[in-house]
Amino acid sequence: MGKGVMKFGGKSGLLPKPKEIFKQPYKHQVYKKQTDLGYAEGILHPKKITRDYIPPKVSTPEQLLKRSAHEPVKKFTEEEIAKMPINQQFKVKNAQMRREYLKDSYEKEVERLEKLEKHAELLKLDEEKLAQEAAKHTQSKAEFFTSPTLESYLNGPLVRPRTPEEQETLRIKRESNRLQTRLNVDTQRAASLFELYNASINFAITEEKLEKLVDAAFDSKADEAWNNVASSTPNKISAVKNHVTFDNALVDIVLDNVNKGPGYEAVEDYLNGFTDDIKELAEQIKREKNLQDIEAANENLNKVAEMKRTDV
Amino acid sequence: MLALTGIISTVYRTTTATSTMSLVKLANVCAHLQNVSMAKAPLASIPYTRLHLQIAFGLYKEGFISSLQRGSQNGPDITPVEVTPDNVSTRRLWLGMKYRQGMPVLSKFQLISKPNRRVYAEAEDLRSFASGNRFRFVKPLMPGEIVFVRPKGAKEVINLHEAVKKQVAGELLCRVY
Repeated sequence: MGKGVMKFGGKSGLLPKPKEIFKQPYKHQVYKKQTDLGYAEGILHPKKITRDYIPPKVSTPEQLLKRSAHEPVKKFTEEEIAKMPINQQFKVKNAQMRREYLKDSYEKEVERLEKLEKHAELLKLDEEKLAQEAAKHTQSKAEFFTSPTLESYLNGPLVRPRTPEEQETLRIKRESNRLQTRLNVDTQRAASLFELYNASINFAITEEKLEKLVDAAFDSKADEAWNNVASSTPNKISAVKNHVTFDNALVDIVLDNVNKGPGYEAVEDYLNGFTDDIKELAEQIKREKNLQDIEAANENLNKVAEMKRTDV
Repeated sequence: MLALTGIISTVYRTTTATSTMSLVKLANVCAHLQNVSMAKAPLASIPYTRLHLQIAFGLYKEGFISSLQRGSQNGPDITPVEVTPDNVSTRRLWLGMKYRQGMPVLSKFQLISKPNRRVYAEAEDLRSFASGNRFRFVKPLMPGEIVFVRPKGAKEVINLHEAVKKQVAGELLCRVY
């Protein structure tokens, strides 16, 4: 970063603004004095100040060319140039080239400026058109009379109350939710009831059953294996009889059993006829499979008989 | 969902009774607008209630805010939305904050009457207060300061000077400068 970079916002490598090729206007324009500018009639103006606007001097490209790049008085032919020393040849050609380039640049600049002018005119026309349309626009009566004002908000209710239809919809929705919740609770209670019912098989409800259970609980043979657990090997422990095996648990899950008896879902399936349908389907599949097995066995027998015949 | 709609309807019932509404929410709004001003945020949102709408409209009329729009929690409404009991909980008022030369126009916004210390004034007291005197513990008005008053028995919220012109008694709600 150089010394004078800070005045360009700390950025180096910034190009300078391009200079204008035409310092003065390049074509004549009709100057129209604006009514709301300058000194009014009868009002004195200070000394050394012009009362009216002096338009800048116009320099057309032709004038500029004539002034700074006019054609040479004597025009050399190619033969004459060829006879000249090399330095002079270069000077003549260089001057010719500069004249051409300057002329080109003026032409292109004029072209560019005219393009810009045309574009600005189009923009101005568009703006005028938009302004005219906006001036024509009037607020419709419907808009004027129906747009709510802040006062109307403050005077009226802030929240629109529910319509009878909305109230009815809400009531139905609430009723539906209530019934659904009730159904879930009842289902849960029914499932718990089945669980309790199935578990009650093991309850001691008579004196005989109680005695039987007490005997079973204090049976020394049953506890023998457990008492020796501490001194047992893993093989011995695994050999201890376990009432709830993995298979039984799996069967319970598949059949929706709870406490070794049918659970709520199993009963519901039975009452719905779902269990019967499943049974019927299973039997049908079994029958079909039997038939297929018989057919396969017959085919095999036939093959064996055929093989025997061919051997003979 | 059902419980929520129940709460909404309860809120609606309580907000409609403006005269008995607690000033706690207004205190929150005052603090929020002060904070927003200090943070130089362009927009501030406050709950959509009648009292807040009245106060915001008063701020707008006095030139403390540049715009007042209805909207939801997500921002100001692009198209008008009807306020129903189902969407009232998400409705907000959006205020356009004003700044001049990098300084907030609204620099102080405080409650005068508080939930546990209500300040009611008679018409004569209001006139005295408006003319630059102290009223009870309430400090005198500073130049350019605005006080919002709720006239006795009315739902509207008006400027102190309007209240003096109308010669009404009322509750001094808040002061802004």
